[in-house]
Amino acid sequence: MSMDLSISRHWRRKYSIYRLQAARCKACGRVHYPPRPACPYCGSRDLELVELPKHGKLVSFTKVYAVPEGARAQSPVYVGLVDLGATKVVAELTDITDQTQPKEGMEVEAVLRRTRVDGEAGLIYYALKFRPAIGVPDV
Amino acid sequence: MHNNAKENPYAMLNFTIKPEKVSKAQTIADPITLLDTYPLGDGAAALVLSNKDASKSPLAKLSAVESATDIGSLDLADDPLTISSVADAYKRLQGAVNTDDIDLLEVHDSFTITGLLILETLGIAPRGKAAQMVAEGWFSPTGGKGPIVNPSGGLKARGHPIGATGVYQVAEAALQVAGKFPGVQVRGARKGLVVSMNGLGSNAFVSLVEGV
Ligand SMILES: [Zn+2]
Repeated sequence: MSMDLSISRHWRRKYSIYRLQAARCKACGRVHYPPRPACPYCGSRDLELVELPKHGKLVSFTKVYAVPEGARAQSPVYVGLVDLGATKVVAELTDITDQTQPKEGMEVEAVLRRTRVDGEAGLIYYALKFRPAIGVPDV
Repeated sequence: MHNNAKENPYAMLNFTIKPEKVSKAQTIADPITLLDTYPLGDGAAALVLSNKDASKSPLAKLSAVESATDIGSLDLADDPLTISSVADAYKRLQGAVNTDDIDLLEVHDSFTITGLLILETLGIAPRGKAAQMVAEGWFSPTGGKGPIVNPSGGLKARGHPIGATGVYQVAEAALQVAGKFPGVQVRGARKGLVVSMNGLGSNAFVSLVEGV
């Protein structure tokens, strides 16, 4: 009955994981995700928290077969680089069917989904994933 | 690059592989297959450094070492196909020493794509063209076009014992310019360029090793 992930770490990150909370630098204006203590572009610590849009465009993607334990039931996992305008994020893709194979430039939208189960007694983790857009974002 | 490891007694995967075997290997993250990735293994490498006057019979001269850092993130990079830390470190190196007429390079090909992006970042290959050039025989010891890249076989074939890898690369380049590399020896090599980096390029070290 072991746990690999830290519950408290996941809790501290809940706004970035569930709401796509990012940070905008007041010095250079650039947005990064997830929020860091300093702007990765200019180093300024003068940041404000902003929420990213839940709708974007798929820049590129891959299909991962080397999936960690706890998420093997969902293997293979599609992972995409999604352009949300203000910044890009790397996120899991979901609801991929034969009819909705991912394509570069495809419109995608965020949905809340299960990511992995942490051992027998651990937490079941959720996060925002992106699905091919059907125009009804549910977050 | 990988095939050079066949001759390298220090290489972990010292055999040649055909392109079909790479594409048919187990997929790790499409289109990257098992043979596009480095093998995990143990290894140790060492360099004995001294100043010019203390060594009576130096093997080679480490002319310059330059480094740079970057975000090292696919999503935060403006251009994920250029490794900025490698570009910046190389620019600094070019400011310090003459990098014309490089005979060989040892580059950090932790994955096939990483090696190709390094060649494009250095300008050794035009953007988007490295894969095609390698397929056409460029950078190979027998192709006769361009400097020889990874005569050791590179990370995917020599192995990538993380902390030791950069030292391996410099040691291999030093043996090359001394004419003493026990594998594919680049004939008459005088100048070797070594590119080491971390992950997706959160930091990079570029060194020039010259014959004495
Ligand atoms: Zn900034």
